Parts: sequence; C-alpha cells; structure tokens
Amino acid sequence: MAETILEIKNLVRSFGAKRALDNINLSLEKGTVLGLVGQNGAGKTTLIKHILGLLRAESGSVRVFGMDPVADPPGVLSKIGYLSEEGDLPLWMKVDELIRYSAAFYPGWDSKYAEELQKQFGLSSGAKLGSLSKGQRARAGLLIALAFRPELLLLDEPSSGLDPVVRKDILSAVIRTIADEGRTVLFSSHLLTEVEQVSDRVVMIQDGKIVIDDELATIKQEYCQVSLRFKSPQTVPPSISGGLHWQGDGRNWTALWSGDTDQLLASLSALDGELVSKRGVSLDEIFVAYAGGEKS
Amino acid sequence: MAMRLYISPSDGVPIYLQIVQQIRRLVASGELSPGEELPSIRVLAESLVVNPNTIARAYRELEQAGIVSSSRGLGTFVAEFSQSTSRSERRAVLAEKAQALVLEAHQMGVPLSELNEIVTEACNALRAINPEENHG
Amino acid sequence: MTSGFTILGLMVHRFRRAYLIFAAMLVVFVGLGQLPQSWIPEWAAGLLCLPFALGLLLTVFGFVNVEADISSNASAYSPWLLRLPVKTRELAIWPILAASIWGFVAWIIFAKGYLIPRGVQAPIVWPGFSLAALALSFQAIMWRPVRYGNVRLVVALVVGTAVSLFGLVSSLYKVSESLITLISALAIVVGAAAAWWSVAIARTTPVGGAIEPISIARKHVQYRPFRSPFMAQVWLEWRRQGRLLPILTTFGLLALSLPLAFNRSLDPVYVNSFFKVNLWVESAYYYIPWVPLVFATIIGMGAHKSDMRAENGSFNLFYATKPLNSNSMVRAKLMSIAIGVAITALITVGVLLGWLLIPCIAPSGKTVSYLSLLTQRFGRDEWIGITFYAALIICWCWRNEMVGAFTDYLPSRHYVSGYAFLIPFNGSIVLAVLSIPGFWSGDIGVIRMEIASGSLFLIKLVASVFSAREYVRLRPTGLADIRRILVWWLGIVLLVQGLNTWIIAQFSGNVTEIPLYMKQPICLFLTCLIVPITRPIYALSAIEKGRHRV
Repeated sequence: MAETILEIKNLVRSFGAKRALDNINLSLEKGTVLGLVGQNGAGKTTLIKHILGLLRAESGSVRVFGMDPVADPPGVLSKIGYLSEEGDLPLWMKVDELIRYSAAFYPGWDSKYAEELQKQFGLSSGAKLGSLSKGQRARAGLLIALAFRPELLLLDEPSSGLDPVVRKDILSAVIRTIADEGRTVLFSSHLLTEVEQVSDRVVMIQDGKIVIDDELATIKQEYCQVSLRFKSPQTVPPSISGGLHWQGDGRNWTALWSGDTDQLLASLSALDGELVSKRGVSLDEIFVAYAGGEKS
Repeated sequence: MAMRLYISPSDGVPIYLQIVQQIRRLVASGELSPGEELPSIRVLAESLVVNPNTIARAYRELEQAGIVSSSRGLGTFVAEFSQSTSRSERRAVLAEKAQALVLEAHQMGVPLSELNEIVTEACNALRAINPEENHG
Repeated sequence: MTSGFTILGLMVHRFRRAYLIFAAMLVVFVGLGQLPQSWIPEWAAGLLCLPFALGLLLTVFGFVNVEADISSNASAYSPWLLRLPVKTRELAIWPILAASIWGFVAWIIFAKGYLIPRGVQAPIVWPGFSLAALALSFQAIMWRPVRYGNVRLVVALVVGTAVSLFGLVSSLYKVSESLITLISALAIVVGAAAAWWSVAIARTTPVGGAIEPISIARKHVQYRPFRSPFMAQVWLEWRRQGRLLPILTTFGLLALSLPLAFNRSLDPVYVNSFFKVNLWVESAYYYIPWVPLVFATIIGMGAHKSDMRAENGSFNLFYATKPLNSNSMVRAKLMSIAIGVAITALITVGVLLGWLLIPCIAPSGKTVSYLSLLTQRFGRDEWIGITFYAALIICWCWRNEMVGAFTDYLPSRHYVSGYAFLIPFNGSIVLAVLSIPGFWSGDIGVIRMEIASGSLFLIKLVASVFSAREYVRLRPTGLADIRRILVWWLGIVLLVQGLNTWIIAQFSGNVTEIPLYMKQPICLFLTCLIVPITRPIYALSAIEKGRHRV
C-alpha cells in the first residue's frame, strides 16, 4: 500500500465573495505523477499554495507528509522541491550564491549532483540572476528544486513562456524524479501534451471544483469523440444527455462522449440518427470540451 | 532503439498502447530480432520523456502477449518464438490495417469488388518494381 | 510642451502622493516661519530641517522607475518610456528642467518662508543651485546603464556628498559667495549635460537596459557550506541590508575626513590658552558619530535589496517557501542588523581615535595631538558624558535599524512609504516637544516627565499586547517568542527607568549647574527611544499574515 504524500479533505477557500476552491478532496500516493489542469483562475495555483502553506485553509484540512504545512513550514517545505511560474529569484544573487544559500536548508542536498546539473544547464557561477535570460533563470530555479532529490516535486506552470529546450529539461527532470524510487511529482500546466506525456493521473479543476480525477490511461479510454448523422437537420444540439461540447449543424454533429456508447446508440435510434464514427481524444480536446461551458 | 519509436502524446490512443503497437510492428517486421534486448524502463522513459509507469505497463502487456520476456535483474528481451507465432503476429497487424481500409472504403461508398481490384493493382505495381522477390 | 508634461506625469506617477505631501510640508514650514521667535527654540528649529532634507531626497527619487536599484547595472529610467517614439531630447529635457526647478524653488520657499524669519542668515541662491545640481547628478547617475552596479553606488555617494557639502565647506573656508554661486550654477550645467548623456546611452542600450559586465572566468571555488539554515538566512539578510550600514559609514567617514588632507592651515582656538588647530577638525569632530546615525535612520526607513513582499500583498515565493520558521527569519534579520551595527561601531570608534592623533600646536609651540587639546577642554563629568553619548549613539543606530525591520514584511509599498515619511516627522515633533524651554525643568518638570514616560510605556504595552494576541491566535507556538521579547523589553525599560531615577536623584534639589546630558529631556528622550523596541512583535505578526494568508 503506497504511502499517501498528500491528503486534502473538504478544502474550501474563498477570496471575497468568490469561491476559489469548493470542497476539494484530493490524495496523492507516493510514486505518482499528478497532472493538474484547468483554466486560468480555476484554482490550480490556489490549491498548490495550500500545499505549500502559503494559504490557510478556510475549512477542511491539508496534510502533506502527514503534517500541516502552515503549522510546520520547515518540516514540510524541506521535502518539497518547488518551481513556480514566476520564480521570484532574487536578481542580485549570483548563481553560486544561490546554490550555497539553498543548500543550507535541505539535509539531503547532493553537491555533486548540483554541480552536474549546473554544468548540464550551462549556468556560470559568477552570473547574476538578473543578467540571465528567463529560460536560464528557470533552469536555476529547477536546479535548486532538484538538487536535494525532494520527495515531492511541485511545479506550478513551470513551462510558461519558456522555449522548447528548457521545457524538455523540465520534463526530463520530472521523469528522472519519478524514476528514482519513492519520489512523487505534482505539476500544473497548460501544455496538455506535456501533461499527457508524463502524468499517471490527471486532475482537472473547473470553477474551484474537481471535474476529473482519474488515471490518465482510464481517461483516454473513457472519453471518445463521436460523429453522428441525423436523418433530418437539427437546428439545436440534439438533446442527448452524456455528451459534451456539441458541435456541428444540420445533419452532422460531433460531441465528446464519456463511457459506454450503448446508451448513446439507444438515444440515437430514438432521434433517428446514426453513429458514423468514434475516435480517441487528446487531453486538450477533453479540456476544451469541459471549459467550453456547454454542459448537458 | 528509442529512435525508432515515435510517441504522440495527444493522440487518442494512450501512450502505452502506442508503444505496444510500435514494438509489435518492429518485431513483426524483423527490425527487432528475437533475443535482442530492449532498453530498460528507466532509460526508455528518459529518452522518450515519458512516465516510467507507462513504459512498465507497455512492457507488461507485451510480456503477457508473449512478445517479450523479462527476467528480473537481467532486462527485457524480445522473445524467441516459433514461426507460427511470428506469422500470427504479422497476420494480426495486417488484419488491423485491412479493417481500417475496408471501413474507409465503406464510408466512401466504394463496393468490395472495386476494393479488391485496387489491392490487386497495388500488388502488380510492386511486382513490377521487384520482379525477383516472390510475392505469392 | 504637452508631451513634456505627459512624460513627466508618467515618470512620477507612482510618487505623486509624495510630491503632494512634500508641497504640504513646505506650506507647513512657511506657517511655522510666521510663528513668533520665542515659540520654537533654535535647536528645534534646526532639527525641523531634517524632514525638509529627507523629503527633498525622497522626491528626487521620483524620476526613476519602480524597480530602480542603485546597485544594479541597468538604467533606472523607466524602460517603456525609453521606447516611446519621441526624440531623446524630449525624454531628457523635461525631467531635467523639472528637477532643477523643483530643487531651486523648494529651497527658496524654505529659506524665505522658514529659515530667514527664524533668524537664520541663509543665502538664497546658491543652496538652491546646489540642490538642483544634486537632483541632476542623481538623475545622471541613476539613468546611465553601467557595467558594475557597485561602481554606481560608490559614485553616487561620492558625488552626492561632494555636491551637498560643497557649499557648506566652502563657506566655512570663507570662499566668496559669488564664487560659490558661480560654481553651483556650473554644477547645474554639468549635471544637466550628464543626465542628458545618460538618457542617450540608456536609449541605445539593448532591452534589459544593462551592459554585460566583463565576465572573468572564475575558478570554481568550493565554498564552505553554511553551518545551518539560520546562518544562511543571516547571510541573506546581511547581503540585503545588514552590510549597508558599515559600507555607507565607511564612505561617509572617508568623505568627512577628506578635507583634512586638503586644508593644512591652522587657526587659533581658545581652550584655557591658545592652541592652533585645523578648523575642520574642530567643526567636524563632534559630528563623526552622527554619520552612522543618519545612515542607520535612512536604512531603518526601509532600504534593502529585493523585496520580501510580492505585489498582491503576499510574500515573495522564493523567501516564503524556504524551509525556515518565520520567527527564525526575524531573528536572522535582527542578528544581521546587530552584526552590522557592531562593525560600524568599531569603524566609528576607530575614526574617532584616529582623529585624536591629528597634530595641533600647543601654546608652548610644541606639536601635540588633538587629544591633549581635548584633555584641556573636558573634565571628568564631560568625559563621562562623552562616553554616555557614544554609547547612546551606537544603541540609537541599532534601535533605528531594528525598529524599522518589520516594514520588510508589510503587505503593501504604501505602508512602507508612509512609514518612511512618518519617521522624520515623528522625530522632529518629539525633539521639538523635548526642547520647549522651561517645560521640563524643576520639580514639576520631573512630574511631567514621569507622566509622559508612563503614558508612552502604557500605550506601547497595550499596542504590543494587541498585536501579540493576534499573532498568537495565528500561531500558538509563538507565545514563547512573544514572552521573550516582552521580557527583554521590560528589562530594558526597568534599566532605563532606574538610570533616569538615578540621574534625577543626582541632580534634584537646587542644583543650578546640570551637565547637558543629565537633563530631564534626555531621560524622556531615552524613553522615546526604547519604547518601540517591541516592534519585532509587529514583524512576527506581519510575516504570519503575509506568509500564510488567511
């Protein structure tokens, strides 16, 4: 039975009148890669900030490695390697100063590994962080997040605004982390191809609620894109419940379908239509379908 | 070997299944010979930048299907199998392609007889280019 | 013309409130100038100049962009303004004009409206020119992209000190006023040209605004790792703020000592008999301890590298996610301040002792050290007073930096700017009240003092307890830290109260000749100094609210 790294129960968080997180329940086992997806403002960063203890839970509980991140910051944070979207690295620090400073906080810091990463990323010791490009700064942030081999690697939109080479570095880091026994990764991203490439599980948040929480393979098998043709043209999307993101006009319609197609076939025959084809979908398409707003 | 695998993450087909299918194809076509060692899960994961669990699942499926065999500590190897297995493997791959072809023809409204003609034409064209090889 | 105002408006937009407040302050000064002479003693009147000076300095900062960092190598001219489709002269001339006119007019209002009515024979023209030149030199230095940010910092200090003190020092050496005015006017021209040149270079520097420093391939040195997370954090605070005081003090004291090298002429000074001393030594020696104090005050108003706060009131993510307890962060900051003050104290004492060796000529004609002149001048009481004064200044430095530490954790820049303005205002009001003639003397003065002290303590205690309660509600384990702070504070309070009581007892009754340092206002002043020492409680509270937002 894998150990639970993260346990979030009934988490609620509001900013003023708006509910940013609405009764979130999430648990993460050791050795998994969890991809967190959702629109801007859906609640991904808010959730991650709760894990880091940067936000107090309004109600509900957050336990990381069994500890409360607000009550015990060093206990939790010393096991988390965090790379944020902005980085917020102090621009006056030099690369070697950054490494030396960060090394003091993590008992498991591996200086040889840090040196290796520094060479691999091409970060020169004497360079001030302010004079580095955005991609190089992201690499510096990645270096200090990885060098102590964290039990949990937490990435918040790490690839945003970065070139493909840096993105590949980040993904490779994710893979290396998970390939090492017993380490876990949670990352949120808009680049769903990346999420598909490396995730075991995918959690989709919409309007503060979790709408999808499942193994990636299961999701891919559960959802499909169906193509339908009706005898008579339809002016409005056909009223078949279970389909998402209806598109088309007249006689030809497509939708995202989850689950068994038997039910679909039954409804179709009632409406005098036929299933032309069905194909697998990408995470992108599922995302767009959910975000599209047309739910039925 | 990783160079010969091409993964498309946003394809409708799950990644592990893509890997399974492509390895099966490589084995069937002879590019991967029996007894050849496949890369370790970790190495393949790192080079494809894919979750090791996905690779592990692919390898498990291949092992269950008898395509590969793995021994703890030694690695994963393409299984030694009899001619008939190889033959049934190849048949399975082609049958899949044939199904797709037939479905497409049906959708286009092309009758089966015409489809047969098209296939025969293709075979003749190939024979014209390579007269020595026996195409049966 | 309109585009000029637009450009100016865009430049100083962030500081617009500061300009309004400064203008209001000038009006207040003019009002104060109209008050009868007897209402405000000279000493207080002089001290009230401090807010003027600091206000002027702050408004001079208005011509740089929001992220301006004096020690970075990028230009501080707002990058997007540089990219506007206007000629360089448009970008240069309007802020240059504005700064010069601002400096000049501010001085005229201050001089004619406040200083002259108060009886200070202040010249009208050349200080205005000097101020304008100071503003322009600041612009020239900040707007220019440089290779090494530290060079910029040094140049700013040297040039700033030179321009500010030039007029004062020249008049001390009896240079004619017209010459000083001429040189100041020339300084304006030079400053304007330099500022224009800086803008031109900033415009042609690539995006990012920085010139690449020549990178010398550094041998990969294996650094000694920090002993603990706490020591790492102390290092961080040292680099951010702690080392500012020793560095600035060193430069300040060097600048103060510079005239010694130039003027060797000795003037007669009467101390029991006629000595011959370098005039600069006589004037400047007693101000040596004020150099670190001024810097400590400025630093305590919120000078440091790289904010700990992010924009929306939360903590900077890099600092907030370090595996370190919040109270350790505060302790680390306080420790780096203490180390800085300790080093500064050593430097200052060193300079003080060094100046004692300066040669002067005794009445007998022999060359003696300055120390022998002072031994003639001061008796036992005075030496005790001097030691007390030195100790006070050091503690005052530490206190000024330490009470401002909590501003680093405040959620908004506005609070910090407000605090920065509050300091000089508060200080001058306190000093003015303390120097009301006759108010604090005699037995009734002692009673007034006790009441004032008591009320201050009480107010502070209540405020601290309120803040502490909020903090402990958010972090129950922090009660131990609160207790420790309050215990230390009460200890210091009792010590100072004891000291005050001893002082009063020494000199109560009909003693006419009381040494200056023993007067009641000094006791009350000590009280005012130590009362805010509970500010770390605010720091703890601010971090709790900022780092783990409710």
